[in-house]
Amino acid sequence: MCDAVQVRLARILSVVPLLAAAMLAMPASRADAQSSAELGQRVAALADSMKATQKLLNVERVRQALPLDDSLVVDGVTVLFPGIAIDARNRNAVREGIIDARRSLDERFGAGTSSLLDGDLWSITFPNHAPNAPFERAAFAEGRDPSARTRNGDYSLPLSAGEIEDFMLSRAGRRLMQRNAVLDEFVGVAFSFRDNERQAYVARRLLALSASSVARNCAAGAMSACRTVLNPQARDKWFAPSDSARPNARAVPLGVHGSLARTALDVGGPRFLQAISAPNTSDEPLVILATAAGVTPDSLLRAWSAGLNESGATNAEPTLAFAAAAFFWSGFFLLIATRRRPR
Amino acid sequence: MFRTILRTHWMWTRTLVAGISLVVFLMPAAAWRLGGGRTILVGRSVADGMQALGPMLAFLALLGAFVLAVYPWTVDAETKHVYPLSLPITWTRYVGMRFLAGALTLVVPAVALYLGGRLAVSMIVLPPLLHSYAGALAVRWLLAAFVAYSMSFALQYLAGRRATVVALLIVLGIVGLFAGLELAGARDVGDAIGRFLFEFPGPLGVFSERWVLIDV
Repeated sequence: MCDAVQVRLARILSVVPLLAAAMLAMPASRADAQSSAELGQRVAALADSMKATQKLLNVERVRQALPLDDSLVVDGVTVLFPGIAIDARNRNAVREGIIDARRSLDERFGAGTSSLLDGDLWSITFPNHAPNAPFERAAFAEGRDPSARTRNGDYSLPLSAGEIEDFMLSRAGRRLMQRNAVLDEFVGVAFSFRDNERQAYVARRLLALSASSVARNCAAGAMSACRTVLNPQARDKWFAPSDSARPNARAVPLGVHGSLARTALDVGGPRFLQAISAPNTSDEPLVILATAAGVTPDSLLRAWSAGLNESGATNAEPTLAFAAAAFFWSGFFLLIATRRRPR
Repeated sequence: MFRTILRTHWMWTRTLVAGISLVVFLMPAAAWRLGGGRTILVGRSVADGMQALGPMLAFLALLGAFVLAVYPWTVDAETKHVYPLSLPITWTRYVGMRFLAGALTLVVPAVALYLGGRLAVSMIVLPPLLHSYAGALAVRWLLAAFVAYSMSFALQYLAGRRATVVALLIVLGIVGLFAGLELAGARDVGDAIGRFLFEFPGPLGVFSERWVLIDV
C-alpha cells in the first residue's frame, strides 16, 4: 500500500473512536438509570483507545520509514534521531541547547543540579516522511511534555538552541517533580525552572477568572481559600453551592499549582531540590512544598500570594523601559528621515 | 515658527485626527458589545470580545499613524517643498518640527481612547479582582502610534514620491528573506530576526505586547 493511501486510511481510522464516543454519549444522556460514573469510565476507556491508536499510527509507521539510526550524547543526555534527517548544523543546535540548559540549572540552583537531566533519553522522529525540504519539518519528539506542543497543536522539531534549552529545562522540572509522587500528581508537567513572574501573572489571572468563588477569594488574598483550592483532599469544598460548575471541574488548572511549586523553589533555594526527595510527612502538597522549602505552609502561601499580587499591574502597564524603547526607535527613524533633503 | 507649523499641520490633518479619534473612542464599547454586552462579568466572560480589542487598536495605530505621516508630506510635495526650503532654518530642523507637530496630534486619539475605555468600563460591573487599565491602554496605543508614525515618516521623507513602491519592496524583501532562510534551512536565523523586530526592545515590540483594557 502506498504512503498516501496509508495516511488517508489512518486519518479515517482515527475518527472512528470519536464517532463511537459520540454515539455512546447520546443515548447515555437520555438514560436516567445510567450513572455518570459509568459513562465517565466508558469515555475514558475510549479516550485511552484513541491515544493508543494515534501513537501506533504515528510512531510505528515512522520507525519503519525512518529508523533511529543515529544518536548524539551530550553530558548524559542521549538524543536519538534518523541519521538522514538531521544535518550537522542542527546537531550543533541540539548540543548547544543541552549544554546551555545544564549550565543555567547549575548557575541558578547550584553545581550538580543539572544531574536532573542525567540519563535522559530523547528521540526525534518524523510523522509521515523524511523532511525532504527544510520547511517540511513537522516532527514528533518522543518524550516531550504535552505542554511543549506548538501553537497549532502539532509537535515541531526544536532546532534552535534556545528551544532545545527550554525543552531540556522542562524535562529537568518534570524529573524534579517525579522525585515525589504526591507533588508529581499535584503539579504534573506544569512546573518550570523558568522565571516565576510570568507564571505568577498567569496563575493570578486563572484564579481571578475561575468559575469557583473559592478560587476567586484566594486571588483576593484569603489564605484559607487558597489552602482549600490547593488541597486535592478538599475537592468537595472547591466550589461554593452558589457556583455554577461541572461536577468534576477543577477549581484551578495545574498552572496555578506549578506557580506555587515554583515559589517554593524560590523560597527554599538549592535545599528544596534535595529536600523534595525526603519521605513525606503529610499528604497535602502545600505542606510537602513548604517543608521542602524550609518554611511553614502559611509563609509559603503568603510569599506566593504576594508574588501573584505584584505580577498583575506589571503585566498590564507599560514600563519605563518599554516607553524608552519606543522613544528610542522614534528618534532613530526621525534621524533617518532628516538624511535626505529635496532639491 | 513651531506654532505656525503645528497650526498648519493641525488644519491639514484635523479631519483625519477627528476620524481616528472617533473610531478609537468607540472601539472599547464595540469590543464589549461584540462580547455579548454583559453588564456583570464573572469568570471567563471577561475575555469575550475584549480579546479582539488589542489587534484592532494595533491595526489602527499603524494605519492612522501612516496616514498622518504621509498627508503633510504630500501637501508639501505638491508645491515642490518651496515653502520649507524658503524658510530661514535648516532642513533638519524643519523636518524635526514637522515630525513633532504630527507626533503631538497623536495625543488627541490617545485621549479619546482613554475616555472611550473609561466609558466602556463604566458600563460593566467589574468583579473586585479585576481592574480597568484604560490609561495604560491609551499610553500603549500612543507609544505604538509614535513608532508607526516615525517609521512611516522616515519612509516618506527618504523615499519621497516612491514611498509606496519602497514600502512594498521592503515588505516583499522581508517576506522573501524569511522564505529564503526557511528554504536554506536557516530557520533559527529567521527566528532571531523575527525576535529582534517583534520582541522588546525591538522596533515593533510595542505591537506584540498584550493590550488589555480589563485585567487582574
